[in-house]
Amino acid sequence: MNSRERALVSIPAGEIPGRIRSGELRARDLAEAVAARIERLDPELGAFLATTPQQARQEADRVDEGVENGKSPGPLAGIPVAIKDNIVTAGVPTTAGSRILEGHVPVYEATVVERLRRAGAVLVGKTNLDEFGMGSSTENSGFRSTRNPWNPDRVSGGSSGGSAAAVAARMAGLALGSDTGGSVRQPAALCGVYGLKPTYGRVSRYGLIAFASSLDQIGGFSRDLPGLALLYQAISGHDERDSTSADRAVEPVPGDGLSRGDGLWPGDGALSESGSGASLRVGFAESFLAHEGVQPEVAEITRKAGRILSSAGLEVQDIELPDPEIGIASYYLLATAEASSNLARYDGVRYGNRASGEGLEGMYRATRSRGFGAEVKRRIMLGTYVLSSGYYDAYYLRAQKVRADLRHRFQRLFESVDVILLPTSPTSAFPLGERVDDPMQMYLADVFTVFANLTGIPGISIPMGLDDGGLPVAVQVLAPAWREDNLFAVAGVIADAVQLPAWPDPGEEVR
Amino acid sequence: MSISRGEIEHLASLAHLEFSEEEIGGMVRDLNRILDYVECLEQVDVEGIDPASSGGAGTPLREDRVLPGLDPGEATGGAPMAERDLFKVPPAIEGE
Repeated sequence: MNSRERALVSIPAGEIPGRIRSGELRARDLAEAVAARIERLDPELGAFLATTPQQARQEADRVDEGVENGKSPGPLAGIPVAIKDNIVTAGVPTTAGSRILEGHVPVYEATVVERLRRAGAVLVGKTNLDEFGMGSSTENSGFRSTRNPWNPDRVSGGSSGGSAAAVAARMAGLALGSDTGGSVRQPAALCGVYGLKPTYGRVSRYGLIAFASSLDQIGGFSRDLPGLALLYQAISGHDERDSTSADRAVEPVPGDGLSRGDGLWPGDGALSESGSGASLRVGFAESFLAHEGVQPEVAEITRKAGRILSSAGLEVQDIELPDPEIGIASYYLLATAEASSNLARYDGVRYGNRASGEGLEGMYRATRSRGFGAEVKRRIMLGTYVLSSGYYDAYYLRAQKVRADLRHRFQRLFESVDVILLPTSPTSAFPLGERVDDPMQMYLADVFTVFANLTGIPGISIPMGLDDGGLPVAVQVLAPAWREDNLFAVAGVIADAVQLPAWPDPGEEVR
Repeated sequence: MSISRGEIEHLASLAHLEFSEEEIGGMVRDLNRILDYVECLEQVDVEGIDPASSGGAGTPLREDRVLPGLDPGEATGGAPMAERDLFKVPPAIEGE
C-alpha cells in the first residue's frame, strides 16, 4: 500500500471538512483512496455488503466543485461515510443483513442519509450486520461474518459490526449504525473506535428497518471525537416523519465546532456542568466489575478511566446499579416481542424474496422459513410466546413494569451523579464461532449496554487501548436523557489522557 | 415455566414459520434455556408500577392534510410479483 493512500485515509474525520474548505484536500482524492483501500481489504474483512465507489466519486466531485465555485460545502464535506445496511438508501440495495431482503432496492431514503448527503458527506457503501440487528458478533448476517480488523480470527461485535470494522480499518471516516441493546457501543468497543447511542428520540428512525421500535436508535462510529460530534449534529433533530423523534433543539456538544470557549470543551478550562461551576460527578459501579464474565483487563481499564477522571478534577463516587441480569431478561422479552410484530411484514408480498408454498399461507411459511436465519426465527418465536394469550401478563407485562422501574431508578441515580462510568463489553473480541451455538452466552455480551436502551438514555463507548492479546478494550459512559454534551465532555478528558495504538492494517502485517 | 413441543408448533403457526423435526428440538431447548434465565424477573417487586410503553412523551398529532406518497408503480416495483400496479399473491386456500 502506498504511503499517500495511507496518509489520506488516516486523516481524522473531524479535520476533513476544514482541509477541504481551505483547498488543501480534494474530496475526490480521498474518495479514491478509500475506494482502493476497501477493494483491497474488504474481501478478507467482510465489512461491506455493497459499495458505491461510482456514487462516491460523483458526490466527491460535487463537493470539490462547490469549493472551487466559492460555495460553502457543508459541515461534513468530503467525509467518507459507511451506512449500516438496515438503513434504507434509495437506489442502493438494502438487505438488513437478511436473505429475505436480498436484492431489495429501496425507493426512498432514510432521513439520516438525506441529512448526511446535504451536509456534504460522501457515502462509500452499506455495511454488514447481524440479520435485522439481532446479534452481538455479525455472525448472524445472512451473508457472511465480519472479521475484526485487529485480529482476523475474532469477531467485530454486533450487530453493527461492519460499520465498526470499516471505521477501525480506515475504510471510512465515519459510519452509521443502530443500537437496540448495544449494537453500536459493543462493536465500537471490540473494534477500538468511538461509538455513540444518542438519547431515544434524538435521531429520526425514518428509514431504519425496525427491529424493536421502542428501543432502536441510530448512532455513529468514529476514530476521533470531533468527527463523532459532527456526525451527531448532522443526523440529530426532529423529523416530522418519525413521531417518536423529539421536537427539541440539538444542543452543541464539545468538538462540534460550535461550542469552543463556553467552558464545555476540555481544553477551555475547568470541566463543568454547563454554567453551574460545579465539577461533573461520576458514578462508578465497582460492584459491576466483580460480575461473572468480566475480563480482568476490562475491570482494570474501567478503574483506570475512573482514576483519569478523578485526576482531572471530576468527583468520582461509588454507586449501586441495578442487577444487569434484570436488564438482560427484560430486554430480551421486550425486544423479541416487538421484533415478532415488526418482522411480520416480511411475507413475500410487497418486497424482498418469495418462496413458493401451497396457497397464500404456504407461501408465507416457506418465504419466512427460508428467508430468515436461525437467530431471527428464535427471537420471533420467543416474542410470539411472550405476547401470546396466557403468557402476556407473566412475561411481557411484567417486563414492561420492570422497565418502568429501571427508568425511575436511573432517574434517581442521576440526581446524585451527572454521568455513569462502567465497561461497555465484559470482554474484548471473542473468537469467531465461539458463541454461535449458545444463544444465552451471546446475549450476555449486552449485560452493560441494555440499560441505556431500556431507559432511553444516551451512552458512548470510549476506546482505552489494547489488552494483552492485542485486542481493543473500552469503557462506557451514560448520561441522563438529552445530555450527550456531558458524554462528549467526559470522553474528551479520557481521550486527552489515553494514548491509543496505531490503527491496524489488516492483512498487511507479517504474522 | 417451560415450553412444550405442542406449544412450539402452535407458536410456529402464529408466526407463519415452519420447522424440521430437528429444528423443533433445538427451539424447545433454546427457548427453555432463555425462559429459565428470565425467571430472575420474578424477584423484582413491581407492585403498583405502571408499565411503561415507550420512552417518548405522549402521542404527537398533526393536521389532517394530504401529503405526497409513493406512486403505485414505485410502491409495487420491488415486489416479487406485481401486475397493473397491484401485488400478486397465491390464492388463500379455503378450509385448510
